[in-house]
Amino acid sequence: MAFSRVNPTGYTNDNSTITAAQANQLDINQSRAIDGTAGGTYTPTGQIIISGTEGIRYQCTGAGANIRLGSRVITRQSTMSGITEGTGTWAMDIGMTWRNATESATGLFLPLDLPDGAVLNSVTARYIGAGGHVTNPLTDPGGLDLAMPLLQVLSVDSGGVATVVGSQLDTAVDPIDYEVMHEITASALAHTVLREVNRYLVRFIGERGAEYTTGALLTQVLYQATVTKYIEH
Amino acid sequence: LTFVRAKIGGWVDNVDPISAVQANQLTVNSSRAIDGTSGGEYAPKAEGPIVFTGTQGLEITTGNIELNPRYVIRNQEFEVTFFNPGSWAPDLGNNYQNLVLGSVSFPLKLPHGQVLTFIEARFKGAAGHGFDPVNLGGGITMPRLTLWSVDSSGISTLILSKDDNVIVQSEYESFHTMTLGIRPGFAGVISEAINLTIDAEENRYVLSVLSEGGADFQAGSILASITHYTTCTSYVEH
Repeated sequence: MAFSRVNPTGYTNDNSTITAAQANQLDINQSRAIDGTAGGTYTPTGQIIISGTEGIRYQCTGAGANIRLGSRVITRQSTMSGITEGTGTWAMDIGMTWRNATESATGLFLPLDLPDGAVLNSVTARYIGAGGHVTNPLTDPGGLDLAMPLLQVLSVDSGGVATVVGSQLDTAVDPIDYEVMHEITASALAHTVLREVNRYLVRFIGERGAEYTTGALLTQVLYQATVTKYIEH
Repeated sequence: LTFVRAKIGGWVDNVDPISAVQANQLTVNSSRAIDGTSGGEYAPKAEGPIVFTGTQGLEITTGNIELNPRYVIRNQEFEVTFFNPGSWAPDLGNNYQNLVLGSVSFPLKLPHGQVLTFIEARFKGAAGHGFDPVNLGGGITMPRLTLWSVDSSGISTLILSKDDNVIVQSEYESFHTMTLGIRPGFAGVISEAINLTIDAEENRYVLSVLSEGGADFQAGSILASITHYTTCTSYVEH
């Protein structure tokens, strides 16, 4: 709780004594006070509430330019807004889920709204293969019946040059796994997000090959990132 | 104001008394300091805000900075959306114009962990209706706002839906506000409240707008904006 004066009416010269209780209270108070010069670590047992109209202004620079956070991992969904690389390859339904319409080596582009300065750990696509596959996608002896869906995470610079931050082929091994919702995760990306110079997106390429089946669904795209600070926007 | 020492050079035993001024300054300073152990409430006065400078700043180890609950109002970007082919088309200002009966959907960018309270859309019915839209029962089916939550399997769950409730043709054919939920500060029907805690880790959220339909359908309605009101009680990381 906020401190109060140890002697509310104040001391007067040659007429006041600082009692031991007052001195002790002063000492306790200062030991609990936040040190605005040297900093420190504080674990308040109650909230520190700033009220009124003046508040806090934060004008630190360098490493402290933004309020720092104890390192934490956040997960956030993509909005699924995007655009197809090729015409007619994917179509969006009313829930903004993307449905694969035709076989194509071109992709679906979904911009990622990533927090600047964070470390991107992984990007996950949640995907449902169309029904009706006969052979196991990955264990088919010929190995060519189905080229599996591919998730790519791209960084695009000011010159429009795209760099692959990470990628992952679908690793479902039989139709039972493949034709229900499962995850395709590009992991261990360890990429520091630099929004001042880059934009980020997912490029998702659907299945292809002799056993191609239309109607796969891309239901969600989400990312995990380690954040250590609040950012302005 | 930052504190200064009550005695710059420090006291020396058996030499320096603590004057009343110094003692009072100590107690006043102490009473103004922020208690880092027990917390407390502080209301900085007109001298200005508490300013942090230098390169070290603040760090919050766990959790997020809480906010006194406040409504955050944001216009939603009209991102690339779903619409029944040929039913809606964006114009130069990225407004959406309705051409034939159909829906258009927009993803909502909402802050994780906060509470979605209210949504409004600015909408103008096309000109040329022969009747007041509601009063003539069956002339048109009214435009509808529907809020969806979409899970990992792409399954959409209806959160809330409401029709445009304008009843006079002249109002309908002018820009007016379609609403979903209860506008903050206004009385409303509890069953029409949204009060959705946003889970941006597991779900995404979509607002769809179904155009008018029916025998008196007129092409050319315009959807100009979508605004959402969120009750925010903390900063979020992103």
